[in-house]
Parts: sequence; structure tokens; C-alpha cells
Amino acid sequence: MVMAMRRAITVMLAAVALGSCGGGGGGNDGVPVVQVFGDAQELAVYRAVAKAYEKKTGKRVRLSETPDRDSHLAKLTTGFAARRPADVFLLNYRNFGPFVSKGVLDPVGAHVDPAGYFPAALDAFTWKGVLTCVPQSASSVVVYLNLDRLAAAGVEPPEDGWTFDQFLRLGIKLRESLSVESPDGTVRALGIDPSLIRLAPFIWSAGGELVDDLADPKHFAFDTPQARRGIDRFLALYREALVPREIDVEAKALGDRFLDGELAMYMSSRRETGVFRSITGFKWDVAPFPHAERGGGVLQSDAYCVAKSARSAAAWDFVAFAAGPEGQRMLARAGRVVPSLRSVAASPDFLAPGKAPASAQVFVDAAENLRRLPNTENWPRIEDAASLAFKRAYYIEMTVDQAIARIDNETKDVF
Amino acid sequence: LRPAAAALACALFTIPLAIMVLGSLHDPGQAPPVGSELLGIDSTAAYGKAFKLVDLGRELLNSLTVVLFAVPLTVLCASVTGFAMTRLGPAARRLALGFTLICLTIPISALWVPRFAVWRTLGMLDTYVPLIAPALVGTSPVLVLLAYWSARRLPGDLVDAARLEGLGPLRTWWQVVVPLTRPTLFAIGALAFVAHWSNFIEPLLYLFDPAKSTLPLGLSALRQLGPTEFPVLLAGAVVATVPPVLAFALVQRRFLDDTRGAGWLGR
Repeated sequence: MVMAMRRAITVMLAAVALGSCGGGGGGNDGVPVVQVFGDAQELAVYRAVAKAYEKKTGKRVRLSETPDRDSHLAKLTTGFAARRPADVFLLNYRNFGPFVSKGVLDPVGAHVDPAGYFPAALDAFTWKGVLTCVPQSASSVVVYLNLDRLAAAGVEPPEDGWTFDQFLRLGIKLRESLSVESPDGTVRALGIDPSLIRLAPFIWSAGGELVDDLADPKHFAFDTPQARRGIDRFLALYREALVPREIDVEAKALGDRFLDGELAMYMSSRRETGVFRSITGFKWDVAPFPHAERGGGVLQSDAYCVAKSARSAAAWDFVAFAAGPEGQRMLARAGRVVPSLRSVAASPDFLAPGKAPASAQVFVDAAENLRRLPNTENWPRIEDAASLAFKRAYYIEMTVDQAIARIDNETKDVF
Repeated sequence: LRPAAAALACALFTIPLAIMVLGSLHDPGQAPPVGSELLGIDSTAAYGKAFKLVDLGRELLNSLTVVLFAVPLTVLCASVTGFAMTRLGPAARRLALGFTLICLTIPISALWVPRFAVWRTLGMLDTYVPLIAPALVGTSPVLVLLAYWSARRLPGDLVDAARLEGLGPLRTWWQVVVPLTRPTLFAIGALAFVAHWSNFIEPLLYLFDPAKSTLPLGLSALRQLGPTEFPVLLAGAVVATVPPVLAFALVQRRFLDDTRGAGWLGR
């Protein structure tokens, strides 16, 4: 079902071209439609943001809620293709290219002052030198730690600035400790999703690059010794039996495994924090992504984008509020995103003293030096193809060379 | 032996429902229960949370509104179309059947954009019309074919006799076809109910106002909450399951009747 929807979305992203005139998805009363996605708790926060905006300004917005990212994109692409998209909508920068390249988005211009936002997030939503959407979040991949598991293995939690070698040694030590407790391998040292966005920081931290030119990529840059070293380190996690088998992950997702205490470490984004705060069975915290030859944090960011329409001025008025300090504070308190505004990220609203993770500052520190994936027109297709091939290499169903050759073959005409 | 087999089959199909109900009675915010932990009952807090996070009451009402119009309309349109197809000449009937089968092969996602454009032009976006309108073509080609096959089983002489008695096509359909294919029509109604009750994509695409949202959208929002909130999702699922179960309980005798001439396809 999800794959079918993704395929349909991919086709319809191309159909966005048909709807290059914006228009607004709801009624004809001039009230901008704001399309958001998230779980029931996140949607409640967006409702509160909309209500606060209406109370403050006396203006109205119409919230259109979708439950998850795939549904959100399906609705959005359908709206654009039929020339009636929402006026304001959330967009991840990895899906930004197909929309902005068709000229359907209204540039930020003077509507929002970009000062104070994390630069990587601004860069991710800049198209040909023009800032086109206002980032709402600037998260990154960190290492979630089950502190009880670490204590049981007799190891100390890592310190800031830990290296990849220390990370690997910790993983192996945890593996040895856990193999006594769980000989069947149910409990593992580490969980990480074998996808391109998780692989990228391994390549960067090894000194390699993901693509030949971030601004105008023509092909992947997997053929350098540095990139290969990063890829080898990533694939070694499975070869060293630090991570669960594919069949186990199919049966139970990595996030659920960390939640149940079956993973000692879990590499993921801030998004998990909301659910992990309900953990009562063990203590947990976060550590930064380990650096090797250099640092390599990867940006995860959504932004508020505005479709070109007669209501764009009213739409930007809402975006200025929602992506500004007041709106971001409300989202930050929900705990699921790292605010894109430095001032809010450094505030108690986000750091939430007294709430896990104690080291929430890790997210803020990482946000200053994040790198991003390309945001070109066909990037969603390219990333899907690369993720699929690397997943097969990760689970040792093909060699790295075969995976790279397959990626080159599938993406050479798409870049 | 037969009752025992029926009881066993019934028990097997009841297990998921039992898990759903028992799971909804656990407190939210905890790791999902494993094995026998499922049998423990904490409280009905998950129901309170589900109704707090999502306006399930209103969504229930909205979904009921849609099926209230869509199901009878589906039965009417599928049955009339199916009967009409039996009255066509061989060439035209083959053409109609072929067209219906071709319609079956069209991926639903291929219709999203054209339908959106049509409803936008007609000014019907953000209303229930786009959700109910598919009932005008029988909701699904399968239901039209079902009505056709059912009507085709009626003796041709019976319909001819009705015509000789001076009944027009519509009165023949109403006075002859409907009574004799009633079990199939109930089955079509049940299938249409399931299709419209669980319809996720069309409310997602065509509705914008959260106040008009239907149950599948609300359930999907609860599904994203994560594993510690599964009781909340299951509480929502229980709420969504009650109307179909009641509907089935009310009509099941109509199409599971074992007497000759009654039941599924009038067996």
C-alpha cells in the first residue's frame, strides 16, 4: 500500500508541471489553506498554532490535516496537478526540488527575515540563490543511548567529540556483553536504518562527498577512497553483527526495539524523542554523531512553503507567525523537532530541563554544522534508487561495487 | 462436525477483534504488551485520549452520513445497471461487460487528479459529494458485475412475462428483479458499506476542513502516534468497528439465509 502510494506520488510529482498556476485548495473565501501532516499530537500542536495566530492577528486560516508524509505529498501533488494546491504546506527539502523547479512556489522575499535561522536549513530551501521556503526544523541524526544497557556492559556513555573508532569499539563491547544475555541475537548493540540519508554522514565524516557538485549534481561521488571508506564503515555495522538482521527488523521496527530496551544504541533523528519520552523502563540519553576524519552531521528539515496564488500575501502572514519565535516555541514544546531558529533551539522550550534527553544540547550543537543532501528536481527518485541498492549491499545480498554500478545505471539519466 | 467447524472458524476470526478490544483497555504511554500481558486490563483511559486527540464523535457522524447516502445509492445504481446489461443484445452486452472489466483494471491513483479537477471545476471540493458520487457508478465495477450475474440467473421468461403484463423496465426491475435478487443486493450493500466506511484516499484528497474529516483519517492520525500509544489507536479502531459489526448483525440473516432461493446469489 505504502509502496503503491509512493509510486503514485512519484508519477504525480511529474504532473506538478501541469498545474504550474497555484490556486489554494479550500474554498473561495480568500482564507489561506494550510496543509500540515503529523500524528494526532502533532496535529493538535498545529491547531494550537493556527488558533494562536488567529487570536493574535484577527485573521483566519483553514488547517488541512494529513496523517503522514506520504498522504501529505499525495494530497499536495494532486492539488498542484489539478491547479488547486494548499496555500501553505510543509515540505521536506528532499522533496523540495520537484516543486520549486516548476516555478509553483512563491519566494520568501521580504515576507520573512532569514536572520537567526540555522544556515544549513536556509541553504536547503534556497533555489538558484533565492530563499523559497522558511525552515521550520533543523534536526540531525544522533545516537540514542540506552544508559542501562551501557552500564550493564560496564561502559561509560560517550563524551562530546567521540570518534568513529570509539563508536565502533563501544558497539563491539556492547555486542559481546549482549551476546551473553541474549545468545539468540534478539538484543543488539545498535540500530540504524540502511538508507542513503543514514549513509551520507558516514561518507562525509570519512572525508568523502556524496555527489560531484551539491549545487548542480551530475553523479554520485562514491568512487573516491574517502567515500569508499565511509561506505565500508557503514556496511561493517552489519558484518560485525552490531545491528539486527533484516528479518528481525521486518518483524519489529528499530524504533520499537529501542523502546523495548532491545537496542543499546539507535541512530535516528529528533523525531523519535516524542515517543521515547514515554520510556519508563530504563534511562536514555543522546550522543552526537561520531566524527572520524571530520564531522558529518546530516540535515533533516521541513519548511513552510507558499504556493503562488492570489492569497500568497495572507499565506506569508501566517508563515511569518508559524515559523517565527511564537510558532516555533509551540512546536518545540511538543519535542518532536529541533527548531530552525537558533534562539528557540537554545531556549528552555526546546531543551526542556528535567525531561529526557538530558543532553538535548547535542541537537543544537549539531545544527550549526550540518550538511545537506541535494535538493534537485529528480532527487526523490535518485535517493530512492540509491537507498534500495545500499540496503541490499548492507544486508550482503550484493557487493558494494555491484550496488554502486546499479545506482549509476539507474540514476545516470535522472540527475 | 459442521457446527464445530463453524465455531472454530468463528473463533479464529474473533481473535483479531478480541486483541483489538483487549489492547484498547491498556493504559497508553507504555511499551506494547507482549503475549499474556495482553490479557491484563488496565482502564479505559485510551478511549478518553483517543477522543481528546481526534474528534472521533464527529468523524463517526461524518462517516455515517457518507455511508447513509452512498450505500443505498450504490445498491440502486449497481442493480439497475446490472439488470439493464442483461437486457442488452449479445454484442452490446459483450461491449458493456468488456468496458466494465477494463474499468476494473484502471489504477485508482490514475483517477485522483482528473477527479480532483472535476470536483474543483464543479465547486464541490471540501463537500461530501466527491465521496458519495462514486456510488452513482456502483462504487466499484465488481459490484455492477455482481448485480449483473445475479440478474442474469433469473429466467428470461419471467422478465418477458412481466413485459407482456405491461410492466416497463423500471417496474420490472422493482417488482421482479429486486425481490428475487435481494440477497445479492444485501451483499452489494455490505460490500459498499465496507468500501465507503474504510475509504481513506478520497476524504484525504477532497476534504480540507478537519470538521468534515471521516474516521479513516482520524484513525490514521492515531496510527502515527507510535507503539506506546497503540491502546489509543485500538480504542479508535473499536469505535470504528462498532457500526460495521452492528450493520452486519442486522442484515446477515438476509444474505446468509440457508433456505432455497435465498442467501448469497440466491443459491
